[in-house]
Amino acid sequence: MTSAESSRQRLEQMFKAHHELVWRTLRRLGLDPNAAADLAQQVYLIAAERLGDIHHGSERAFLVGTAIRLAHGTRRKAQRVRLDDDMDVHPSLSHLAEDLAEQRRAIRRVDRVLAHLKPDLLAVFVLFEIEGMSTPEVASLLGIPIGTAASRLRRARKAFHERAARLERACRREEQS
Amino acid sequence: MTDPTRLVVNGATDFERSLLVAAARERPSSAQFRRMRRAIVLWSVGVLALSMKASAGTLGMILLSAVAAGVAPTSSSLHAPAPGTQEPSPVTPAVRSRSLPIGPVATDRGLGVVGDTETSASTARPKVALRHGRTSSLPESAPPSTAHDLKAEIELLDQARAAIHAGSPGQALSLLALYRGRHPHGALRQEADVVRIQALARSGNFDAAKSLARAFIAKHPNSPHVLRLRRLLSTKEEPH
Repeated sequence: MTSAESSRQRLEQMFKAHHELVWRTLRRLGLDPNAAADLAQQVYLIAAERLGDIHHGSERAFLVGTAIRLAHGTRRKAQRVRLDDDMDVHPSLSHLAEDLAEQRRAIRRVDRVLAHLKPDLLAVFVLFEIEGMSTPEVASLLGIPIGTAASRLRRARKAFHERAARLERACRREEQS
Repeated sequence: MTDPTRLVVNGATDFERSLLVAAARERPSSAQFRRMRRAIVLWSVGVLALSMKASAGTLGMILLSAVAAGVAPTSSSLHAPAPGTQEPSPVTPAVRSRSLPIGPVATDRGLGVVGDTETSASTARPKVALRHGRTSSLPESAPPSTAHDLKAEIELLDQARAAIHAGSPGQALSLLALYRGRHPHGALRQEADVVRIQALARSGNFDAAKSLARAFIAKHPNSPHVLRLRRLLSTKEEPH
């Protein structure tokens, strides 16, 4: 197997294993679905260029770390959520129109809540609460001490609770009116 | 230092939980999947072009022209931090302009042959994946899920729920056994337990379902599932 073929296979593997995580991380960091796909493409182009520098076993960290850095470099507000874009949802739900609508509504809401979190808190919250990473993993990925990650998570949760509660009240009022 | 319990498991209101679960479930559309995957196609084109530079055959010339035209990325156009320790590196305009607007134009026309070759060379399964844009369509070589892979957990639990609704509680129980094997410390263990109780009840094993429901309530008295399980416990036993 040539070096190019081997690199290509590795890149394919990285894509198959992590493209949804990369895309979803970019989404939660404030990009609309298409912008997230575009930026994910850049993440993989960068990974392709830097393949030799990526240690085996740290592919996920490299991809997510690159995605976070790129996302921070974009103008978050300008790119923020155009939720009318096409969105596939979980396969087992997609055939049910009602569930699909509910899923879209929930996504719209979670984007509204997360839009109020500060970027440093948001990244920790997304990686821990939504992507299920451990605190040490999040800390290592973001290049911060574990204690800082834990502290940011606490603050992020507080902000999430506050914003979610406010949105829930607004939704209730809307439903009642 | 141990991790705190995830909000989705404990500490979130129903409303918050619905948001977190929806966020974890979101997937790119098939069009977005293709968009992302073009990174690999373009990179392959660049590598191929460089490897053919020496012979400078016809195809090589075509590919080099494509690269020169800015369809494919060049090494110098990409700036990225080294993994792990590098400083943040904003995306340069060059990177953005080359990689973002790859719609159906460039690859489908000028590089159509190469793009198609690339797609077909990577076996027929990815084509299915391209069409549907879902992980479930990817080859079996994808790595197994980890304990905290919420996405994989949700998929399994949804399949189990779907099996119950389809009248196949036995299949649901098999899926739940699979869940327990794959995610012994999963974030959605509570949900898995509740689905298991439902599956047992649907399969006619009402005693086991009620016994598990009681144990669940004792263990998780503040769980949002308690109300539903109490309803189950108050239900008259179904005929076997």
